[in-house]
Amino acid sequence: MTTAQRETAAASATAPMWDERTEAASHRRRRAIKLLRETARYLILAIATIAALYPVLWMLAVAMKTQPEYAQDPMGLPSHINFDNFSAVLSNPDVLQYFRNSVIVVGAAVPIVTFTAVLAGYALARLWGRGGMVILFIFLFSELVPISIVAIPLLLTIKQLGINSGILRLICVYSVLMMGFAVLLSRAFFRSIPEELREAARLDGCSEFGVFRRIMVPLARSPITLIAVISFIVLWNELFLAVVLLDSAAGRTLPLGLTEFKGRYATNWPTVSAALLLSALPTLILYGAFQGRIANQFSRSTTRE
Amino acid sequence: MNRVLDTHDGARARRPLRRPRAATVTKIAMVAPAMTLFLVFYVASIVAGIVLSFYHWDGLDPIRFVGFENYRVLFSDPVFVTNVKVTLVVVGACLVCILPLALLLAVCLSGPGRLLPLFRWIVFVPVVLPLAAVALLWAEIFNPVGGLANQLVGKLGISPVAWLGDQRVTVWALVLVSIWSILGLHVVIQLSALSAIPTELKEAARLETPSVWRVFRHVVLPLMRDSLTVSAALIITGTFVGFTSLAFVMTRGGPVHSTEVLGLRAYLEGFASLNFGMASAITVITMLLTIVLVGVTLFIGSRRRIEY
Amino acid sequence: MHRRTAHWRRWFATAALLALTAAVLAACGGSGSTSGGAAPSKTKANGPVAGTLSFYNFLPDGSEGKWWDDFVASFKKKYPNVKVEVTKFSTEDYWTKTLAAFSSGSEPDIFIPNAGEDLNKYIRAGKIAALENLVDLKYYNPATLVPFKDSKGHIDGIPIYSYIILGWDNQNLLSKYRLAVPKTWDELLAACHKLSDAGVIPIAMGNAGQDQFPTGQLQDHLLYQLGGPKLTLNATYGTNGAKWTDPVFVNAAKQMRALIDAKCFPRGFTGLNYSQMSNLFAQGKAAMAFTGSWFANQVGSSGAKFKAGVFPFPDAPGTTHSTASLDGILGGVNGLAASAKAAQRNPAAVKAFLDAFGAAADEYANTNSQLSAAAHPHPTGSGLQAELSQVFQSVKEIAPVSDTILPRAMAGKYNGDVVALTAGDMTPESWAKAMADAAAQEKPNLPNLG
Repeated sequence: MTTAQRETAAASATAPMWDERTEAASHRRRRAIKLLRETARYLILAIATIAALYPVLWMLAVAMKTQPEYAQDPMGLPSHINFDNFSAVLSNPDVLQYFRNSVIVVGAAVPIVTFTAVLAGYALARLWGRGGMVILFIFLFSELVPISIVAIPLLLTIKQLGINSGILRLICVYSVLMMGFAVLLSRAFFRSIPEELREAARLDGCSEFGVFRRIMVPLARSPITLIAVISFIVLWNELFLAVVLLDSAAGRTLPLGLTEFKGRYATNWPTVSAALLLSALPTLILYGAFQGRIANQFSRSTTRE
Repeated sequence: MNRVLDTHDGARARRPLRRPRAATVTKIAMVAPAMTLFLVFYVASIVAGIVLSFYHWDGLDPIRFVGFENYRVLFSDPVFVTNVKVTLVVVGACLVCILPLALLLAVCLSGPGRLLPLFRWIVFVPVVLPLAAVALLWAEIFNPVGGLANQLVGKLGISPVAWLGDQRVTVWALVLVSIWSILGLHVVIQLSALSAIPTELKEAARLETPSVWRVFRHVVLPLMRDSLTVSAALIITGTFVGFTSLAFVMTRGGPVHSTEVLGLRAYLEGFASLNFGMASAITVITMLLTIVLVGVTLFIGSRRRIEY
Repeated sequence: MHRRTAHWRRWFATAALLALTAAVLAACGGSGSTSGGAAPSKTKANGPVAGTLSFYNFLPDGSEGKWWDDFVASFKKKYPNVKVEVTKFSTEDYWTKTLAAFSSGSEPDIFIPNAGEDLNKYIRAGKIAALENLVDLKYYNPATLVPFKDSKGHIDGIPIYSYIILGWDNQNLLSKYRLAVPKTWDELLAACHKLSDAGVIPIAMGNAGQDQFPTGQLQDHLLYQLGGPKLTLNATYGTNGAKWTDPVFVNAAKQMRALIDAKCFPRGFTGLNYSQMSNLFAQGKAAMAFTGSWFANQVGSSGAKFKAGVFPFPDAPGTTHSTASLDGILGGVNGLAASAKAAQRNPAAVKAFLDAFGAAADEYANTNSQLSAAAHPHPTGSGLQAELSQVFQSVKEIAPVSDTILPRAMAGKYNGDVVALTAGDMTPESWAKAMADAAAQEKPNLPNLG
C-alpha cells in the first residue's frame, strides 16, 4: 500500500472531516507530482531541442553569408538574409544531375532492401530454429563488417562480375549495406508478436506464407516504415562507397557531387553549407512525413481472449 | 494477466516446438533474395579481404604473398594496442550514454500531445545531416580561439582547451559529437518499441501499483529488451564505421592516435600508406572483435527470464 | 479468400517488378562507359583532334574552379570533335579516387598531380605518358619541369603552377606594435614574445584534423635550413649516408619546440584546422603566418582589411642553407599529367589539351594569384602575387616538401609525428627515434625510387 492509501485508511478510522481533507491532500500531492513530471519532461525536451537545433541554425547562418563575411566572423549572424548561395547551388546543372542519380539509386535500393529484409526477418524470427542462428549471424556479420570496409575487394569483385553501370553497382551494394540492419530490426519486431497469432492461423489452415502476408505484414507497418525511412536516410547521405565504386561522373550521387565544392586549401564554407543543408532537406521532409507512422501507438492489443 | 505478459517468450518455454515440413521450403524461399544479394556481393568481398590479408599489395605493384607477416607486425605494434583500447573506450562510452538517454527521450516523447511530433522531428535532425556538415559545425564549436565550447568553459573559469588537439580531451570531444549525431536514431528505435506495447498492459499494471517507476521497470523495460539490444548492437557496429568516418574527417586519428579506432587504422593503412594487405589484416581482427562484442550483447539481450 | 490471396500476390509482384524495372532502367540510362570507351584511334599526335578525353579536376573551387570550367569550355569550342568528360573532386576524395581508378584499370586520361610521390607511384607502375615528344615544352620555365623528370629522363608532367612556402605578415598589425618584419631568428622570437604578451597571435598555425601539413612543412623548412634539401628522403633510404639518428633531425625538432615555447603559435593550435587558421589571419587576429603561396588567393577572398606581405622565414641557429638570404626555399610544383593509355589511344587530343594549357599558363597564374609556370611570367595579379614572384625568381633552389617526396607510408607518419612533437607528446629525441624505427620497419616495403 502506498503512503497515500495508508493515510487514507488511518484517517477513515477517525473523524469523517479528516477523510476529505486527507483525500484532498493526497489528490493535490499526486497532481503536484504529475506537474513536476510534466515540467521535467518539457525541460528535457527543451534542452534536447537546443542541442539538436543550434548547430543547424548556425549552419543556416553560415549559408547566408558571403565568403569574406564568413572568414571575418564565423560565429556571428549574417549581415542580411541572403539566398545567393542556395540559388547558386540549385542552378548548377551538375547538381541537378546528381540529384536525379541519387533519386534513382536510392529509389531502387530502398524497396529492394525493405521487401527482402521483411521476408527474411519474419522467416528468421518464427520459421527458423537453430539453423536460423547461422543465417542471422551472417547478417550480423555484415553489420560488424559493413561492406564499406571491404570496398576495394568489392570493387574488384564487381568488375569481375562485369557490372559496369555505376548506378547498378550502387543499387546492389546499397541494398547489401542496409540489409543487416533491416533484417535485425525486422526479426526483433516479429519476435515481439505472440506465437499464438501464428499458431491460431495455422490451425485455421493457413500456409506459412499466408500467415506472413495476411497477418504479419499488415501488423508490421511500423518496422517497415522504419526500415524504409532509415535506409533512405543512410543511403541518401552515403559517400564512401559512391566514391570508390563510381568510375566516372556518370551516376554520381548528390553527396559525392557536393564535395566538389570543397577546394584544396580554401573551402568556400558558405556555399558548402548551403549545399549540405539542401541535400539534407529531402531526408528531413521524408522523416517529417513518416514519423507518425514510425512512432505510432498501437492501440489494439494483440492477444485478446 | 499472466498470459498477456507471458506472450513474449514464455509461451515457447511452455509448449513443445513442432515445425511442419511445409515450412521448410517457405522459410528458405523467404530468406533467399536477401541471401543471394549477400553471397554475390558481400561474402565474396569478405573472402577476398581475408585472403588479401596474407599478401602485400599497394594497389599498383604486383601482389606478393607474405603469410602471417601483416599480423605479426600488427601484434608487435604499440599503436595497435592503442587502436584497440580507443575502440573499446569509444564503444563503451557510447553505449553507456546513448541507451539511457535514448530511453529517457523516448519516454518524454511518447504519448499523445500536439507538440510532441514536432519534438520527435527535431530530435532526429542531427541524424540526417551529412557528415561534412557535422564535422564543419563541430569544428567551429571546438575552435580553440573563440569557439562556443571554449566560451562556455571560459565562463566556468577554465582556461581554453584545444578540444581537437589535446590527446587527453579529443576522444571525448568526438564521443560527444558521435552521441549528438546518432542519439535521434536510437530515440526513434526505442520510441517505436515503446509504442508497440499495448496500452492495456500498462493500464493493467497501473491498477496493481500506482507507481510509474515500478510500472516502467517491471512491465515496460522487459518488453524493450529486444529494441535495446538492437540499439546496443547498432551502437557497437556503428562505432566501428560511423566513428571512423567522423574521426577521419575531424582529427585523422587525433593527436597521437588518441582517436584512431580500428576502422580508421585500417583505412589509413589502406589508402594513406597504401598497404592494403595490412588494412585487410586489421579488418579481419576488427571483424573478430565485433563478433565477440555483439555476440555477448545479443546473448545478454535474449536471455529468457520468467517474469511472473 | 482466394480473391484476396490473388490480390495480395499481384500487389507484391507488381511492387517487386517495379523495383526491378527501376534498377534495370537505371542501369541502361545511367551506364556511362568507363574511360577509354572510344575505339583505339589511329590518329597520330599531329593528326585531327577528335575522340574523348577524361579529365580529373581536383581544383574545382573558387576562382580556380571557374578558370578550369572556362578553360574546358574554350577548349571544346576550339576542338568541337573532342568530347571532354570532366570529373571534379574534393581533395580527400581525389587521391583515393585516382588510386582506385588506376588500380582498377579505369584511370583518367588527364589529371592534376603534385610533382613527387603522388605522381611517381603511377610512373613506376608504367601508367603515365612521357610528354617530352608529345607536348610543346617551350611554354614552361625549365626549372618547373625538373620535378617531373623521372629516373629514365622522361618528362612525365607539365607544371600548372609552382608554390613556395614562406612567412606572411599583417603589416598593419606589426606596425601597430612597432615591430619590423623579423629578419633574424632572435627578432622573430622577440616579436613572438611581445605579441603574445599583448594578446595577439604571433604566427597563425594549426595542424588539427585532416590538415597535418602546416607543421610538417615548417619542420621541413627547419631541416632544410640546418641540413639542406631532401634530408627526410635520404634518411629513409639511407642514401648519402644520412640516417634519422643524425643530430640534424633532433636539432630541427628542438628549434620547432623553441618556437612553440616562445608562444609563437595560438593557444591550442593543435586543435585548429587549416581553414580556421587562415581565417584567424584574415580576421587580423594574427600578425604573421607560415604557409604556401596558394594562400595569396585565400587572403584575397577572405575580406582581409589590412595590407598583407610575404617574407622569407628567418634562419634558425645552425643554419647552413639560408632561407633568409634566399639560398633556397621550400616549395614544389603542381602539374598536369596524362595516362599512358590516353597517350596511346588519342595522342592528338592529349597534346591539344596540354598545349592549350601551356598557352594559357601565365593567365592561369595571374587569375588565381599563383606562381606562374610560364617561361616568361608577367605577374599581373594582386600585389602579393608580384611579391611572391619576386621571391621565387630570386631563390637559388627549391627544396621539396616531405609529403611530396616520401613514400606514402612514411609521409603520413612524418606529418603525424610532427604533430605529436608540436603537441608536446614527443620530445625531439623521441621524435627522431620514432622516425628511425618507422623507416627501419618500412624498409622491405619501400618502393624502389630508381
